[in-house]
Amino acid sequence: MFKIHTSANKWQESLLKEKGGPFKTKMDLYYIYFMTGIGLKLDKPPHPEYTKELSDINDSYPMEFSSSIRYKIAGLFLYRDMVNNNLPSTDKSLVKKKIEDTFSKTDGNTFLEPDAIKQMNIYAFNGFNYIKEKMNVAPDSANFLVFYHKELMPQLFK
Amino acid sequence: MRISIKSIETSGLRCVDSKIDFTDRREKTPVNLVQAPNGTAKTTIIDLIIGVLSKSAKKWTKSEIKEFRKKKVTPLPSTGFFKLELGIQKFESDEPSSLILQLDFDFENNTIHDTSYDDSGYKNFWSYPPEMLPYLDDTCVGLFIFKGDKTDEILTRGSGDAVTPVKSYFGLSSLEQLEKDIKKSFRDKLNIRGHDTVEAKENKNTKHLKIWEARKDELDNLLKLYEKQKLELDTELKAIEKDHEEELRKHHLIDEQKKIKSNLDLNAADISKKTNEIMTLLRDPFSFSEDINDNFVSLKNTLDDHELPGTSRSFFDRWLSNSDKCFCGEHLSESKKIHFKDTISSYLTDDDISIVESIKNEAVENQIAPQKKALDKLFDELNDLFNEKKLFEIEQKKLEAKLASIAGAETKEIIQRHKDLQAKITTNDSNIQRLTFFDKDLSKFSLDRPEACLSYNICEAIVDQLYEVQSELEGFSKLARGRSTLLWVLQRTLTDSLKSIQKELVESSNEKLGKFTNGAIEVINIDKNLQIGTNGHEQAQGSGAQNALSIYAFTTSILERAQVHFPLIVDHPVTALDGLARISLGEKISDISHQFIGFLIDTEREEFLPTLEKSGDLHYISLFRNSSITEPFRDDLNQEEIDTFDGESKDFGFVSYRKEFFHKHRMGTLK
Repeated sequence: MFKIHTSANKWQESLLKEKGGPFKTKMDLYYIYFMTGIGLKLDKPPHPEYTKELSDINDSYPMEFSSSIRYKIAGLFLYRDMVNNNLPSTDKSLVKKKIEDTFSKTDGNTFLEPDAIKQMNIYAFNGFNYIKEKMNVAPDSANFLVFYHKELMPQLFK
Repeated sequence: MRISIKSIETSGLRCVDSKIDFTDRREKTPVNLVQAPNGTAKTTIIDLIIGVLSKSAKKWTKSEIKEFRKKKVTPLPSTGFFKLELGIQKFESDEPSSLILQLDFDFENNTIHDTSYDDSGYKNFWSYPPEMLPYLDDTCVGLFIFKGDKTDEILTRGSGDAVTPVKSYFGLSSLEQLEKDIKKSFRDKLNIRGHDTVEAKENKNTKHLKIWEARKDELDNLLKLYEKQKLELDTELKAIEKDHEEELRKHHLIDEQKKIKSNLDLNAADISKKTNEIMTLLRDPFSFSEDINDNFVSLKNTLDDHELPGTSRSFFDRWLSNSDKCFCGEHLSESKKIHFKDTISSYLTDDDISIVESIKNEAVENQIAPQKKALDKLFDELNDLFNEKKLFEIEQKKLEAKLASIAGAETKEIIQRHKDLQAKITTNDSNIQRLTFFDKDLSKFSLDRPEACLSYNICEAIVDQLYEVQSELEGFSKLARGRSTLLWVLQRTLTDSLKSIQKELVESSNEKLGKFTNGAIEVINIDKNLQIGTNGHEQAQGSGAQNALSIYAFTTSILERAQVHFPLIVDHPVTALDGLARISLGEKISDISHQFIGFLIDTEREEFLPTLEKSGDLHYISLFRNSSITEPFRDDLNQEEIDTFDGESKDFGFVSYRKEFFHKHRMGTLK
């Protein structure tokens, strides 16, 4: 289950309610938070009790996320999680184990095991906190995107 | 069943005493156009029609009733009436029957009385055909009687609501009511006992239930208050905006204002379109950074180096468990089996192979990924639009400064009131937002501190949970389970039905819009508000005509699907539209409904009237008060029209149905 920082619900409310706005579902913003978290290598739970601050969103991606996009997210997650955890890519058995631990045998939507989604939730949680530090109150979607592109994107995936 | 308005008649009321006949498609033409001087009280007539058809007149307060009394005559009338004659055609082949619904006013006591008359005779109450009954409420009637701008009511995200009329028309609001009734009756049943069993009295849940119920009532009252304030503030805002517009007109700044507003609207639509394009691209992770392409190439190389995904492990697993001979034909010894098992343990399962192969394919296909550059280009374009917006905003400020510099104290006060009111509306809206906020995760609320909960919806959900626990405590667990099952069935029915109705309405609205606009605009979705756009992408707003046509298409799609077809009654049908939009709407209006009644003002004539006339016959209605100021009109009446004069009436209204009269006299400017 994809879960979001509980306080994100309030923070992002106006972005989701915007007439004709670009963010169609909560998953759009979850994805932005996740990309921020994983792009900044924020892979550790912020504190042991953080799960109490999570709210459910969805157990699958909405239709805006095509299978090609979902494969890319799964591949990106696998690779970055290996890099962020300093997993030696030369060790075949470790790489294979990582693949088995990451990819689901049953979930044809996310392609990910529940533990992998839990890790995505940590990235998204940290990503949201990072964004909120920069923008205490969400602006309108156009200003949010411009700020995100200008100030945050250059720092990601370095 | 088809309902048409055959006539209306009023006496002793705020509107001029008169009788007006209408036509419909079956009789003559579906399009009825009414013109009347300002102050003839067209709005009162519309309010009366709404009051009778929605039965809301029965809920009018004494002061509301008093408001309908005719004021400028001596002596003031002690009584008055409004008569609405409907033509009701049950089946296509039937002759329509007549139903007269009368509302009698007693201004001595400020009370009303309802009566009706049809083939079966006189009745001392409004007797509607049973088929009509499900539709006789404010929401349903509000859908076919357009009073004011429907764009805000239906289209605007945040304030627009297209789902409530859908629920009303298709009986889903009755299911919602049933859901509430079930919850209430369950709670009542538990409350009757007063939670007085020893277990209940001593239980913490009972205490929690009491304090949370009190909190729920408190928040419910607050929510009702803010919702009431919202209506009042919206009405006030509209009035001030009208005053503001009037001031601009007085100082010859209205055209400049319209131009700036149109530029700002177009700019907002462009920004909305651009941000949607950006988000579509952003959903592809490759657009975030060119480094991601390198990451994928590295991942692919790593997998290639390790020959992953390699061969499918499942084949060898099956072979090892079923066969006692090796590939080479020799006996498959245990040591060989162990060796094979060790070897194939480095392979992946079929499912993992399929995912890894797909990811590798993405890496191959995206080696030279253009997404990042495309995204940067879109952001450049968005920045250009931002700069353009700033320029328009500067122009707007300059215009306001210009108005303030030449205007008197009264105008300045209007400008200030407008600003203050907008601030009040923002605060009120955020209060409503806070009270209606919902989060499924209720566990974060301490049951000992209901005052920390600021949302009515969350509070209601917690109370519901507490009642569930309470039922176990008081020996009602079987009843609670039954209630839960029933509620589950109701909620599923509601959700599934609404989804399928919404889907059908989108299709049917688009079929109409295809004819109206040649596909320039489409309904994308009905999710609270009506979402419109092009090529599957939602946009903030269409042009004035596109908005209006989308609303007409949506409204008539609902009306057609309902068992009863109602007339479409619109106050100022094209005020918000520009010239081309008026032409566009004028061409389609006769197709929209079997009866269209439009209350037209002078400024709406341009483009709209000629186009309407090209598309077919019209029923022209000119209504004016018998007074010295309307003498030029009266002089132009024919004998038959003059003969309708009722000398007993203190405030008589003449009606002309002639085209040439309608064309010759513009009435809007008279007071």
